[in-house]
Amino acid sequence: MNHDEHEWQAQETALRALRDGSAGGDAGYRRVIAALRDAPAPMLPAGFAAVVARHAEAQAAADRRFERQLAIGLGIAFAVGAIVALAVFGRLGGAAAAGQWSGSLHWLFAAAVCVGVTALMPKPRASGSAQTL
Amino acid sequence: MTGPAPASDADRMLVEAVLAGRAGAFERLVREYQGLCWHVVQRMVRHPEDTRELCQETFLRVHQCLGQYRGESALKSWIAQVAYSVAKRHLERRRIPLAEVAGDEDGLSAAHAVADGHDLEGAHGDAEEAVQLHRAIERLPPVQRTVLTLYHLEEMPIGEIASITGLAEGTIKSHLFRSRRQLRDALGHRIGVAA
Repeated sequence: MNHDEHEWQAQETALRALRDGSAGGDAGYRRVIAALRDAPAPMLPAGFAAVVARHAEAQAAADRRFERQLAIGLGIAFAVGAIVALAVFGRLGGAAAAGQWSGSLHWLFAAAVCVGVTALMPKPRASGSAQTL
Repeated sequence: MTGPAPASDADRMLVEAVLAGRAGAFERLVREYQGLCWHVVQRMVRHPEDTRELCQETFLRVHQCLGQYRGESALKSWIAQVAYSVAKRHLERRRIPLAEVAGDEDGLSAAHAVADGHDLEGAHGDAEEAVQLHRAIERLPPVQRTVLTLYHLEEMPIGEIASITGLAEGTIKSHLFRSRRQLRDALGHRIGVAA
Protein backbone atom coordinates (compact mmCIF):
# COMPACT_ATOMS: atom_id res chain seq x y z
CA MET A 1 0.00 0.00 0.00
CA ASN A 2 1.57 3.34 -1.01
CA HIS A 3 1.54 6.45 1.13
CA ASP A 4 -1.47 8.10 -0.56
CA GLU A 5 -3.52 4.92 -0.36
CA HIS A 6 -2.60 4.61 3.30
CA GLU A 7 -3.68 8.20 3.93
CA TRP A 8 -6.96 7.67 2.01
CA GLN A 9 -7.67 4.73 4.29
CA ALA A 10 -6.92 6.94 7.32
CA GLN A 11 -9.43 9.51 6.06
CA GLU A 12 -12.10 6.89 5.44
CA THR A 13 -11.47 5.21 8.80
CA ALA A 14 -11.99 8.55 10.56
CA LEU A 15 -15.21 9.06 8.56
CA ARG A 16 -16.55 5.60 9.46
CA ALA A 17 -15.65 6.11 13.12
CA LEU A 18 -17.54 9.40 13.20
CA ARG A 19 -20.58 7.90 11.46
CA ASP A 20 -20.62 4.96 13.87
CA GLY A 21 -19.99 7.19 16.85
CA SER A 22 -17.00 5.08 17.80
CA ALA A 23 -13.53 6.14 18.90
CA GLY A 24 -10.51 5.67 16.68
CA GLY A 25 -9.07 7.08 13.52
CA ASP A 26 -6.68 9.93 13.04
CA ALA A 27 -7.59 12.79 15.40
CA GLY A 28 -6.87 15.45 12.78
CA TYR A 29 -9.06 13.81 10.16
CA ARG A 30 -11.80 13.28 12.75
CA ARG A 31 -11.88 17.03 13.36
CA VAL A 32 -11.81 17.85 9.68
CA ILE A 33 -14.64 15.43 8.91
CA ALA A 34 -16.67 16.57 11.93
CA ALA A 35 -16.43 20.13 10.60
CA LEU A 36 -17.46 18.97 7.12
CA ARG A 37 -20.52 17.21 8.55
CA ASP A 38 -21.49 20.29 10.53
CA ALA A 39 -22.84 22.67 7.90
CA PRO A 40 -24.87 25.76 8.77
CA ALA A 41 -28.65 25.32 8.55
CA PRO A 42 -30.27 26.50 5.31
CA MET A 43 -31.15 30.21 5.52
CA LEU A 44 -34.25 30.00 3.38
CA PRO A 45 -37.21 32.16 4.37
CA ALA A 46 -40.25 30.57 6.01
CA GLY A 47 -42.77 29.61 3.37
CA PHE A 48 -40.07 29.30 0.70
CA ALA A 49 -41.62 26.09 -0.65
CA ALA A 50 -45.09 27.65 -0.95
CA VAL A 51 -43.74 30.75 -2.70
CA VAL A 52 -41.67 28.70 -5.17
CA ALA A 53 -44.63 26.39 -5.87
CA ARG A 54 -46.82 29.43 -6.62
CA HIS A 55 -44.17 30.89 -8.96
CA ALA A 56 -43.72 27.55 -10.72
CA GLU A 57 -47.46 27.20 -11.26
CA ALA A 58 -47.76 30.77 -12.50
CA GLN A 59 -44.90 30.17 -14.92
CA ALA A 60 -46.43 26.90 -16.14
CA ALA A 61 -49.81 28.62 -16.62
CA ALA A 62 -48.11 31.42 -18.60
CA ASP A 63 -46.36 28.80 -20.77
CA ARG A 64 -49.66 27.02 -21.40
CA ARG A 65 -51.32 30.34 -22.30
CA PHE A 66 -48.52 31.14 -24.72
CA GLU A 67 -48.77 27.69 -26.34
CA ARG A 68 -52.52 28.09 -26.71
CA GLN A 69 -52.16 31.56 -28.23
CA LEU A 70 -49.48 30.27 -30.59
CA ALA A 71 -51.73 27.39 -31.67
CA ILE A 72 -54.63 29.80 -32.26
CA GLY A 73 -52.34 32.12 -34.23
CA LEU A 74 -51.10 29.28 -36.40
CA GLY A 75 -54.67 28.09 -36.91
CA ILE A 76 -55.73 31.55 -38.05
CA ALA A 77 -52.72 31.79 -40.39
CA PHE A 78 -53.60 28.39 -41.80
CA ALA A 79 -57.23 29.37 -42.32
CA VAL A 80 -56.26 32.65 -44.03
CA GLY A 81 -53.85 30.74 -46.26
CA ALA A 82 -56.59 28.27 -47.15
CA ILE A 83 -59.03 31.10 -47.98
CA VAL A 84 -56.42 32.85 -50.16
CA ALA A 85 -55.68 29.56 -51.94
CA LEU A 86 -59.37 28.99 -52.52
CA ALA A 87 -59.80 32.51 -53.87
CA VAL A 88 -56.82 32.25 -56.21
CA PHE A 89 -57.64 28.81 -57.52
CA GLY A 90 -61.37 29.50 -57.49
CA ARG A 91 -60.92 32.26 -60.09
CA LEU A 92 -59.20 29.99 -62.53
CA GLY A 93 -62.29 27.83 -63.23
CA GLY A 94 -62.56 25.46 -66.12
CA ALA A 95 -61.14 22.02 -66.59
CA ALA A 96 -57.50 23.05 -66.04
CA ALA A 97 -58.42 24.62 -62.72
CA ALA A 98 -60.35 21.55 -61.74
CA GLY A 99 -57.17 19.56 -62.26
CA GLN A 100 -55.20 21.95 -60.02
CA TRP A 101 -57.99 21.89 -57.47
CA SER A 102 -57.81 18.18 -57.06
CA GLY A 103 -54.03 18.49 -56.37
CA SER A 104 -54.57 21.33 -53.90
CA LEU A 105 -57.29 19.40 -52.11
CA HIS A 106 -54.80 16.61 -51.45
CA TRP A 107 -52.48 19.09 -49.77
CA LEU A 108 -55.30 20.66 -47.81
CA PHE A 109 -56.40 17.22 -46.66
CA ALA A 110 -52.83 16.31 -45.60
CA ALA A 111 -52.50 19.57 -43.68
CA ALA A 112 -55.84 18.99 -41.94
CA VAL A 113 -54.69 15.50 -40.91
CA CYS A 114 -51.47 16.98 -39.46
CA VAL A 115 -53.40 19.52 -37.42
CA GLY A 116 -55.82 16.83 -36.23
CA VAL A 117 -53.04 14.44 -35.16
CA THR A 118 -51.20 17.23 -33.31
CA ALA A 119 -54.38 18.19 -31.48
CA LEU A 120 -55.03 14.57 -30.47
CA MET A 121 -51.49 13.93 -29.18
CA PRO A 122 -51.27 13.53 -25.36
CA LYS A 123 -49.94 16.57 -23.52
CA PRO A 124 -46.72 16.12 -21.46
CA ARG A 125 -48.29 17.78 -18.40
CA ALA A 126 -51.86 17.83 -17.22
CA SER A 127 -53.49 21.09 -18.12
CA GLY A 128 -55.46 21.26 -14.87
CA SER A 129 -54.31 23.80 -12.33
CA ALA A 130 -52.18 22.60 -9.43
CA GLN A 131 -52.41 25.83 -7.53
CA THR A 132 -51.13 24.93 -4.13
CA LEU A 133 -52.17 27.92 -2.11
CA MET B 1 -17.63 2.14 -7.22
CA THR B 2 -21.35 2.02 -7.77
CA GLY B 3 -23.43 4.24 -10.01
CA PRO B 4 -26.38 6.28 -8.85
CA ALA B 5 -29.24 4.42 -7.19
CA PRO B 6 -32.52 4.37 -9.18
CA ALA B 7 -35.63 6.23 -8.06
CA SER B 8 -37.50 4.83 -5.08
CA ASP B 9 -41.27 4.22 -5.11
CA ALA B 10 -41.72 7.36 -3.02
CA ASP B 11 -39.78 9.37 -5.64
CA ARG B 12 -41.95 8.02 -8.45
CA MET B 13 -45.18 8.70 -6.59
CA LEU B 14 -44.14 12.26 -5.80
CA VAL B 15 -43.11 12.94 -9.40
CA GLU B 16 -46.38 11.46 -10.71
CA ALA B 17 -48.35 13.62 -8.30
CA VAL B 18 -46.55 16.77 -9.48
CA LEU B 19 -46.96 15.86 -13.16
CA ALA B 20 -50.64 15.15 -12.59
CA GLY B 21 -50.97 18.64 -11.11
CA ARG B 22 -52.12 17.37 -7.70
CA ALA B 23 -52.55 20.22 -5.21
CA GLY B 24 -49.62 20.69 -2.86
CA ALA B 25 -47.43 18.05 -4.53
CA PHE B 26 -44.79 20.42 -5.84
CA GLU B 27 -44.70 22.33 -2.58
CA ARG B 28 -44.05 19.02 -0.83
CA LEU B 29 -41.22 18.26 -3.24
CA VAL B 30 -39.63 21.66 -2.61
CA ARG B 31 -39.94 21.29 1.15
CA GLU B 32 -38.32 17.86 1.02
CA TYR B 33 -35.32 18.90 -1.07
CA GLN B 34 -34.79 22.57 -0.22
CA GLY B 35 -32.10 21.69 2.35
CA LEU B 36 -30.14 19.66 -0.18
CA CYS B 37 -30.49 22.41 -2.77
CA TRP B 38 -29.31 25.02 -0.28
CA HIS B 39 -26.24 22.98 0.68
CA VAL B 40 -25.21 22.41 -2.94
CA VAL B 41 -25.76 25.99 -4.08
CA GLN B 42 -24.43 27.65 -0.94
CA ARG B 43 -21.23 25.62 -1.07
CA MET B 44 -20.76 26.72 -4.65
CA VAL B 45 -21.60 30.43 -4.48
CA ARG B 46 -21.30 31.21 -0.71
CA HIS B 47 -23.44 34.34 -1.01
CA PRO B 48 -26.73 33.94 0.95
CA GLU B 49 -28.80 36.27 -1.27
CA ASP B 50 -27.53 34.66 -4.48
CA THR B 51 -28.07 31.24 -2.93
CA ARG B 52 -31.74 32.00 -2.23
CA GLU B 53 -32.31 33.23 -5.78
CA LEU B 54 -30.49 30.27 -7.30
CA CYS B 55 -32.44 27.82 -5.13
CA GLN B 56 -35.64 29.34 -6.48
CA GLU B 57 -34.30 29.13 -10.03
CA THR B 58 -33.37 25.49 -9.41
CA PHE B 59 -36.88 24.52 -8.35
CA LEU B 60 -38.49 26.46 -11.18
CA ARG B 61 -36.33 24.49 -13.57
CA VAL B 62 -37.16 21.24 -11.76
CA HIS B 63 -40.86 22.01 -12.22
CA GLN B 64 -40.35 22.84 -15.88
CA CYS B 65 -38.25 19.75 -16.68
CA LEU B 66 -39.77 17.16 -14.34
CA GLY B 67 -41.39 15.45 -17.32
CA GLN B 68 -37.88 14.56 -18.49
CA TYR B 69 -37.04 12.75 -15.23
CA ARG B 70 -36.83 9.06 -16.11
CA GLY B 71 -36.22 7.62 -12.64
CA GLU B 72 -32.80 6.26 -13.58
CA SER B 73 -31.32 8.00 -10.54
CA ALA B 74 -32.83 8.97 -7.20
CA LEU B 75 -34.86 12.18 -7.30
CA LYS B 76 -32.42 13.59 -4.74
CA SER B 77 -29.53 13.12 -7.20
CA TRP B 78 -31.50 14.58 -10.08
CA ILE B 79 -32.39 17.70 -8.10
CA ALA B 80 -28.81 18.03 -6.83
CA GLN B 81 -27.67 17.83 -10.45
CA VAL B 82 -30.00 20.67 -11.45
CA ALA B 83 -28.85 22.74 -8.44
CA TYR B 84 -25.19 22.09 -9.26
CA SER B 85 -25.65 23.09 -12.89
CA VAL B 86 -27.54 26.29 -11.95
CA ALA B 87 -24.82 27.29 -9.46
CA LYS B 88 -22.03 26.35 -11.87
CA ARG B 89 -23.49 28.51 -14.61
CA HIS B 90 -23.83 31.40 -12.15
CA LEU B 91 -20.12 31.15 -11.26
CA GLU B 92 -19.11 30.82 -14.91
CA ARG B 93 -21.05 33.97 -15.78
CA ARG B 94 -19.12 35.77 -13.06
CA ARG B 95 -15.85 34.19 -14.23
CA ILE B 96 -15.18 32.66 -10.83
CA PRO B 97 -12.82 29.66 -11.05
CA LEU B 98 -14.62 26.43 -10.21
CA ALA B 99 -11.72 24.25 -9.16
CA GLU B 100 -8.14 24.72 -8.09
CA VAL B 101 -5.47 24.94 -10.78
CA ALA B 102 -3.91 21.57 -11.53
CA GLY B 103 -0.22 20.97 -10.97
CA ASP B 104 -0.15 21.40 -7.22
CA GLU B 105 0.65 17.79 -6.57
CA ASP B 106 1.87 18.05 -3.01
CA GLY B 107 -1.04 20.21 -1.92
CA LEU B 108 1.22 22.35 0.26
CA SER B 109 0.47 25.68 -1.40
CA ALA B 110 -3.22 24.86 -1.27
CA ALA B 111 -2.91 24.10 2.42
CA HIS B 112 -1.39 27.53 2.90
CA ALA B 113 -4.17 29.00 0.79
CA VAL B 114 -6.89 27.48 2.95
CA ALA B 115 -5.06 28.60 6.08
CA ASP B 116 -4.76 32.07 4.51
CA GLY B 117 -2.83 33.69 7.29
CA HIS B 118 -4.94 32.20 10.07
CA ASP B 119 -2.91 30.35 12.61
CA LEU B 120 -4.99 27.23 13.02
CA GLU B 121 -2.19 25.69 15.03
CA GLY B 122 -2.34 28.57 17.45
CA ALA B 123 -6.11 28.61 17.70
CA HIS B 124 -7.20 28.15 21.29
CA GLY B 125 -9.92 25.71 22.19
CA ASP B 126 -12.11 23.38 20.17
CA ALA B 127 -14.71 26.04 19.32
CA GLU B 128 -12.09 28.44 18.01
CA GLU B 129 -10.49 25.65 16.05
CA ALA B 130 -13.85 24.64 14.53
CA VAL B 131 -14.49 28.23 13.45
CA GLN B 132 -11.08 28.41 11.80
CA LEU B 133 -11.65 25.05 10.16
CA HIS B 134 -14.97 26.25 8.71
CA ARG B 135 -13.21 29.31 7.36
CA ALA B 136 -10.58 27.07 5.78
CA ILE B 137 -13.37 25.00 4.16
CA GLU B 138 -14.93 28.20 2.81
CA ARG B 139 -11.63 29.08 1.15
CA LEU B 140 -11.51 25.86 -0.85
CA PRO B 141 -12.52 26.17 -4.53
CA PRO B 142 -16.28 25.77 -5.24
CA VAL B 143 -16.14 22.30 -6.77
CA GLN B 144 -14.03 20.87 -3.95
CA ARG B 145 -16.36 22.40 -1.33
CA THR B 146 -19.38 20.93 -3.07
CA VAL B 147 -17.86 17.48 -3.47
CA LEU B 148 -16.96 17.46 0.23
CA THR B 149 -20.49 18.53 1.15
CA LEU B 150 -22.19 15.89 -0.98
CA TYR B 151 -19.92 13.18 0.40
CA HIS B 152 -19.88 14.13 4.07
CA LEU B 153 -23.09 16.04 4.70
CA GLU B 154 -25.47 14.37 2.23
CA GLU B 155 -23.59 11.05 2.54
CA MET B 156 -23.79 10.37 -1.19
CA PRO B 157 -21.57 7.67 -2.71
CA ILE B 158 -18.80 8.72 -5.10
CA GLY B 159 -20.66 7.30 -8.14
CA GLU B 160 -23.67 9.47 -7.39
CA ILE B 161 -21.51 12.59 -6.92
CA ALA B 162 -19.90 11.82 -10.27
CA SER B 163 -23.29 11.78 -11.98
CA ILE B 164 -24.30 15.05 -10.29
CA THR B 165 -21.14 16.97 -11.13
CA GLY B 166 -20.29 15.29 -14.42
CA LEU B 167 -16.78 14.62 -13.12
CA ALA B 168 -15.03 11.24 -13.31
CA GLU B 169 -15.12 9.11 -10.16
CA GLY B 170 -11.32 9.26 -9.99
CA THR B 171 -11.48 13.05 -10.02
CA ILE B 172 -14.06 13.05 -7.20
CA LYS B 173 -11.85 10.75 -5.15
CA SER B 174 -8.85 12.94 -5.84
CA HIS B 175 -10.76 16.09 -4.79
CA LEU B 176 -11.86 14.39 -1.57
CA PHE B 177 -8.42 13.09 -0.77
CA ARG B 178 -6.54 16.29 -1.48
CA SER B 179 -9.06 18.64 0.13
CA ARG B 180 -9.18 16.61 3.33
CA ARG B 181 -5.41 16.41 3.43
CA GLN B 182 -5.14 20.17 2.86
CA LEU B 183 -7.55 20.84 5.72
CA ARG B 184 -5.69 18.37 7.93
CA ASP B 185 -2.39 20.04 7.08
CA ALA B 186 -3.92 23.41 7.80
CA LEU B 187 -4.71 22.17 11.29
CA GLY B 188 -1.01 21.66 11.77
CA HIS B 189 0.75 19.25 14.00
CA ARG B 190 -0.95 20.36 17.19
CA ILE B 191 -3.20 17.37 17.04
CA GLY B 192 -1.58 14.06 17.74
CA VAL B 193 -2.60 10.79 16.17
CA ALA B 194 -5.01 8.80 18.22
CA ALA B 195 -4.60 5.14 18.56
